[in-house]
Amino acid sequence: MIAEDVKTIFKPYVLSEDYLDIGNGQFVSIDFFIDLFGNVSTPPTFDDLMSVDCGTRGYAEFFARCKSEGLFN
Amino acid sequence: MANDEISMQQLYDAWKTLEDWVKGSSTDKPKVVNVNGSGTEIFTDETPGAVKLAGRYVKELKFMETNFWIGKTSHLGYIHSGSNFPNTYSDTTPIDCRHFEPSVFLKNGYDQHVNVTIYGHLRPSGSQIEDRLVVVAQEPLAAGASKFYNKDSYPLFSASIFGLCIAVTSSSPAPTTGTLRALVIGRV
Repeated sequence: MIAEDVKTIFKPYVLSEDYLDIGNGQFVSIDFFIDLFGNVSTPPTFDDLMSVDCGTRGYAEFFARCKSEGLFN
Repeated sequence: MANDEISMQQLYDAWKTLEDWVKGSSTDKPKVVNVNGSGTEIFTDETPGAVKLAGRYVKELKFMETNFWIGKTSHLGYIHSGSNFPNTYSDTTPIDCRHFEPSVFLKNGYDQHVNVTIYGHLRPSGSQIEDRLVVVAQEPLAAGASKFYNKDSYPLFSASIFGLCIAVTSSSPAPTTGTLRALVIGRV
């Protein structure tokens, strides 16, 4: 994924073009998000993203919500 | 810009959040000001700490830089239970919140989530500081994430506490590269 992919896929959660609202009052820059998840193919799947998150980066809840809303499979 | 820095945009966003927080103020709304007096905002990635608040309603209490506050022992007696961070620092300066409603802006620049606990020390009783800490916020902060903590979300953030102690424990695996930063501010 590149930044434009992130902005498209996660569009409902993009803030000010440069940030993602990942819930619970937390926001993260898209640049940092790309550093973490940029190697995931486009379009991503929940499993792809979680294979990078590994349960240690703190994004599981956000990705689960996105999946439930149909942003990806 | 390195991932472990608070960016200009993030600081600006934090100030915008703060501005909303102190709604009701008018000409004294806090805003970002230029510390060199040229009239131009001077957010830079290299010198985020140069940013100052303007406005009588808000006071910057503490800007804690890279690894500054990841201490083994805080002034308030909290013992940092994590041992995986590359650096430790014992900060013996309390964050005095007696005259301000405190609020905290945190940025986790690490590549793993960290577990954040913000303790409030109970307000002095007479001349004695009560030897008791209360947890005012406790939760994980995702890798790369920033968050603004205040009493709107955490009711125990209030003038009833004397000081703040921010404690962080690592996730597993422990973060490797990055920094943690905190900006503590108070509403007068």
